[in-house]
Amino acid sequence: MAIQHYKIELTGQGNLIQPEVKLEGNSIHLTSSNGGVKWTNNDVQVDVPGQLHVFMSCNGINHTAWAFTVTNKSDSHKAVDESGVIGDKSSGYSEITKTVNP
Amino acid sequence: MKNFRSKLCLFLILPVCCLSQTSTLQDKSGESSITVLGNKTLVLNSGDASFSAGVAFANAIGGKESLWGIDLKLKSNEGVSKLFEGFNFKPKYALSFFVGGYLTSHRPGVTHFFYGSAGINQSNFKLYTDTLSATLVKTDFLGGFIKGGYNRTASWGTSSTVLGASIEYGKYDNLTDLDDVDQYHTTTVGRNVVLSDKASGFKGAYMKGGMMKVKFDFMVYPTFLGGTVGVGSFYRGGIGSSFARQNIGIGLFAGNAKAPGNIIGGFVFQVNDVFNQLQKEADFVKRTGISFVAGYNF
Repeated sequence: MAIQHYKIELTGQGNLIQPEVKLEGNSIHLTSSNGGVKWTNNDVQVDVPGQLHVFMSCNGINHTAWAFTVTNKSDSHKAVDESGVIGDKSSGYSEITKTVNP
Repeated sequence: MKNFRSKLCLFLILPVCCLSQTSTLQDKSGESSITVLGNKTLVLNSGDASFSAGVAFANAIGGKESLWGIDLKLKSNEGVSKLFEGFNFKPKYALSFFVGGYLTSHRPGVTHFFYGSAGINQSNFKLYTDTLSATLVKTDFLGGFIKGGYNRTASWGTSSTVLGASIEYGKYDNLTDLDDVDQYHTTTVGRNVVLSDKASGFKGAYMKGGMMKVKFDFMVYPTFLGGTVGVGSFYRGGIGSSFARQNIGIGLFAGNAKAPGNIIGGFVFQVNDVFNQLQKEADFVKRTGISFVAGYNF
């Protein structure tokens, strides 16, 4: 058992609607000060027994570009660093699921 | 003192609004029922010579999102170039607060957003009185409104769609229906007539009162246009007032390649007073017009 501290950022070129981020299956609270373009949580504490399980989904207008990072605050390495566009897998929607080193 | 308070209020609010949250999908009057695509945006609308801005905040957990903020719209009753003429700050403005939330959707790519808003609008202008003295009389108007609306984002095949609908009730006036009028002081010098001391105002049957407004907007971003060009249509209806009318229109908007919802520019073709309820212009073609919208996202 190890408590890890993460910084989460989901940044769109345009609005990202109803974003959902889960670490180890737990939903993370995200805030935005610009109406939904950049979503953040600067300090997420998670108990990670082994590999880190990450889920992210969001809605929006197709072709809206996004970047998603999960940064471990202890050594500043990016456990997740992904980018994509809304609609790449399903129209109006993006989703990623990853299992990474914490 | 009342005027001073209004000016002070506006100048305090303006810096906050530079962060801006407002919809770029506007009709000729700068109105829209679509709220969900607003972000850091400044919008200029040639249709009513207005400037819109706002600020919004949001939070989300488990896919549940809530959104709230303020919108400000400024316009000059006598054209943008005269907004600050003679250090006499005299814009028309509308200030509103909104709050909304998304319903949980079980279909990926489909969102449902409900919102409510309330606001005030104020203007001061000169009204031409058709009397023997034929003077321009300074006139003030203060109105307000409450509004409820719904936005839905979804897909039509592989094309994104945005639907907006809203209903509002408030106190409005018919200033935009009146004709512009200029008044000069004339002096005869020899065979020349010198015009000086120009004063601008409005002429016509000025009315104000309560009215219900209904708005529908529909935008689609067709895949065959690369998904970055939005094609929109709208309806604006007024009920319960002697100056109520129905407007319809279509628009073409170009968005950013990596953010189609961020409108760079567009134009709107609008039919005003579709059923000629105002009985002001019998020629249908003359009740139509084109306006331009320019948006900047930062």
